[in-house]
Amino acid sequence: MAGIGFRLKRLIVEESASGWLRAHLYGAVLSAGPWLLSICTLASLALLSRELIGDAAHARFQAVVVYTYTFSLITTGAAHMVVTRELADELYLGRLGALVVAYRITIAATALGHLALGALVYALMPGLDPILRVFGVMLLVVVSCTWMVMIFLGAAQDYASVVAAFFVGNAVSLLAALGLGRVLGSAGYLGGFLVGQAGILFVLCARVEREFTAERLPGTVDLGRAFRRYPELIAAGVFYNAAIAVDRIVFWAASTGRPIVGWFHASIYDAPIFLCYLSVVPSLAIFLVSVETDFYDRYREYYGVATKHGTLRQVLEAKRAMTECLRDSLRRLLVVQAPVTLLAMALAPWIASGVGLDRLQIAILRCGLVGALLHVLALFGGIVLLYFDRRRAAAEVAFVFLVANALFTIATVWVGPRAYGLGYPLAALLGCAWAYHRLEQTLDDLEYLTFAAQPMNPEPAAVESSQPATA
Amino acid sequence: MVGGGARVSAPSAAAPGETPPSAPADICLILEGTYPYVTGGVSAWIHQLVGALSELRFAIFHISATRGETHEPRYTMPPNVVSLVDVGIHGGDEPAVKGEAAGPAAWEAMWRYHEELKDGRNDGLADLLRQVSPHAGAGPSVHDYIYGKPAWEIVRRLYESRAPDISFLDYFWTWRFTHLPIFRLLHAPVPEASVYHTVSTGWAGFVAAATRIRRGRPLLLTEHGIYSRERRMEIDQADWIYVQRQAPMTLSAGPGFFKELWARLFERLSRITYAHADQIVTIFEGNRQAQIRDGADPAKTLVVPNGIDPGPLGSLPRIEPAPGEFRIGFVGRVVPIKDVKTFIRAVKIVTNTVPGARAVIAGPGDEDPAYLEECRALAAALGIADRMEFTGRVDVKTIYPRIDVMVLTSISEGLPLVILEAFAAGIPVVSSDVGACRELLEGRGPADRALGASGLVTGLADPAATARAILALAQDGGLREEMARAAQARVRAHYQEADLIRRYREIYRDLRQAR
Repeated sequence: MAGIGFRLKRLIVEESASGWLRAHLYGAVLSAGPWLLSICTLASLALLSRELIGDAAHARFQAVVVYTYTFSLITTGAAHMVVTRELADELYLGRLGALVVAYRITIAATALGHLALGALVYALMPGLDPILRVFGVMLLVVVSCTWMVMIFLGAAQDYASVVAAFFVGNAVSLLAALGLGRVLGSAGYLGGFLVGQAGILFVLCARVEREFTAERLPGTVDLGRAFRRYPELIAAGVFYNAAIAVDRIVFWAASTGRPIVGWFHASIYDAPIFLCYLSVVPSLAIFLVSVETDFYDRYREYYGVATKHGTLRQVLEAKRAMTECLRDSLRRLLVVQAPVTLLAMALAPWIASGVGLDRLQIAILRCGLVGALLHVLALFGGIVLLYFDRRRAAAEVAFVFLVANALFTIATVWVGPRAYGLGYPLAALLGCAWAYHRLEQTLDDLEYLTFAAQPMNPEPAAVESSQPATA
Repeated sequence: MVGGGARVSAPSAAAPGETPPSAPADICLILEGTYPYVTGGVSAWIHQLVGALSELRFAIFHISATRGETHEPRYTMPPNVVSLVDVGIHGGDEPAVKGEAAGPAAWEAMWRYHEELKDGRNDGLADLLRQVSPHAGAGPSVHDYIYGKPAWEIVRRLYESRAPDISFLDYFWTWRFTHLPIFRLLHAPVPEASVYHTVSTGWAGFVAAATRIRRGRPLLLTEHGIYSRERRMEIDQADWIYVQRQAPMTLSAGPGFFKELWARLFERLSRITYAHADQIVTIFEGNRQAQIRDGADPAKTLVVPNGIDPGPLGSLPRIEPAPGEFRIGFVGRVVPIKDVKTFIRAVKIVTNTVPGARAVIAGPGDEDPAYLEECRALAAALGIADRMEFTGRVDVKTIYPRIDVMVLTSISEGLPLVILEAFAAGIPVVSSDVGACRELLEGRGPADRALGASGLVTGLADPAATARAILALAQDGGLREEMARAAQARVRAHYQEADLIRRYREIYRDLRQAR
């Protein structure tokens, strides 16, 4: 295996029966990190744009970018978790050849699919100048492929490369946008931004190529089978990404939306909500670290005792330790995150004046800060559910969040400005409640699930990797 | 009704998948790993019995080890076999469907039933089935039993009360492997019949007992060998039971814990069968005593020895040996339970003294090809491959005329038909002291013993003793002739097929009239 990348080697050596579980975790964190960097880029461009290209041109640019991010997350969501899982299954079986094939199929399919989709949408949309349309299609392709390529870097746990690529890429985006914007207005802004984002994609692809194809390995992969096997993961991916977007979509579509260009709208809701996401960065970091260290050790211990001939008492003891550790992690997370959120709420007026928000948006910001806190808690509950292979429960959490966020946001828009922003925290609270209810059930029943839910005749490939208890 | 595992066919029409005739059979044979799919002594006996009782309509319910395997019958079944159902109990597809929900009371009854079994009571099955699964298809499905939470709770309680210090993973999977057949059999479509007749205890005996309870029709049990004991021997030698996977820190059980669990299961299945059979037949006195020790009611027990028609074999023209030649025969399947290796070693010892000794191993080796290979390798290693003939499946009529002594080295037997056949052909027998062999060779009861010995009995797995007995016969033509005469007289007096048929005709009639 001389040529295989260092990280992959380590993953395999670790007999990582649950590599895929961690992949989900990295996936979540990885998509959050770049998202935050992109928000910073967009915010910087917003601040610098007024004298450069004017408010209207900037709004057009921003609408295209925001819509691209929002909807590409939903369209790739259908495949994101399934591919993540399939990849981890293959990795568990040591089938590195399959990874390369899966990678190429995934990227090709994503690119072609979004090229077709983007071409269709931008062809039908009225009122855009042609360069904007072309750049819009390209941005959609680049961004969706970026989401998918990150799965493969997540599988290799190479998040340093991802963060570096995004950092540099976004800096390029910023500078190129400023440079081209001066000449070409909103199309130039978009073109410059696109250059940086495309650069990120190419760097990430190159990184994956180097990691996975260092040695020529034959392999095949049946992605269709993965989609048939994990329908709950398709649902979870779509529901979750729709859930985090649906409140903004409601604000765009309702009377609160300002038409910007073509079918694209903006609303007073956008800016405060994007800001809120920044407040949960500490949670993401803490969760990553504590799950990666303490919890993961206990988790491995539990399945170790269960599969290596422990008595039931030892199994239950290991479960108790693992549950305790999970509660500790959440406590620690809240101890750090709650003050951060409270402080941000208290400082909301200052923050608002810094980025130019009005009074109504300050209220939305405060709601959003609470929402973001509950949102990450729900997200972590969902990820832990996936650790225990409770795919259906994870999909339910996303579904509850989605439906609640849609309904509550519609209700707040209907009630009027004094209710703006309340939908998101309420929906996140509901999602959170459902996640922890299901998690509680799962932990109560864990030994039953570990032993009795195992099939009598495991299907050779998939079950082995997904069922640590009898593998 | 049953998750696709049962294959039903009407053998006379020979169309797989065809449903059995609607009229109930007179007798339903409940069989396990034997007729018509596996050849052997018990299969031959069934073939003989069914063929002879041509006035009765037989249905056959057969239990195979592995699910989803297609079997070809090895016998041409007589036309009075009106239906054949084959059910696999291990492996195969996932148990799929959901069944009827059982209430907490039903699950509690299951728990109580296990407690009763622990306390040595074996008569609770009737009450349990009435509550939980009054007929095939009723009650929780196989899926519910294997994956359901209430069933899990019972297993957990069993573990905690029986073996809390043992590896739970192994306990749980042992429970699954031992109970999956039970759950499948509870749902299996046993044909309707006036009388049920099981030819072993074990899984067949269990489903027979359940059918006895559900249908209220009489149950006859015929045991050739004592099932639970044969199973225990197999289990002791089994390498697939989790001895090596044992955690070193366990306290409550030795390394044989899971073997003991399996052996106890089969003992319990035997006890359950004994408890529900209306008549318990075996083929020799020693077995009857063993059944009584294992819980059979002496009043229900009966000995009906196997029999053959001595005519055809008795009139076969003998093929005389070449000068100096001595021909040793082994007739039977080449499987470990026959201990063919002891036979081969004994032949080797005989050749040291009798250079003209030759041996023939006449019987199919396809049941355990690996064992057959080992036997061939052993013969080669001992340098007697050239005088050791493996015939494979063969018509025994071509074998008996050209052997001078027949040898049986089995570590377990019932009443071996091959001994009766050898007797009928006038061939003395050397046999290990298993099953009915001593009764056969030395006589049962005073009148029988007066006929004289018709062979020599040896210890088990003792090549030297077997060789000594063969040599005694090889070197003493007078003894050989004396024993051959006694053999033919004995088979004519006590082991006639016609007597066996008559006895079973009576037993069936009495059981049918009992209702």
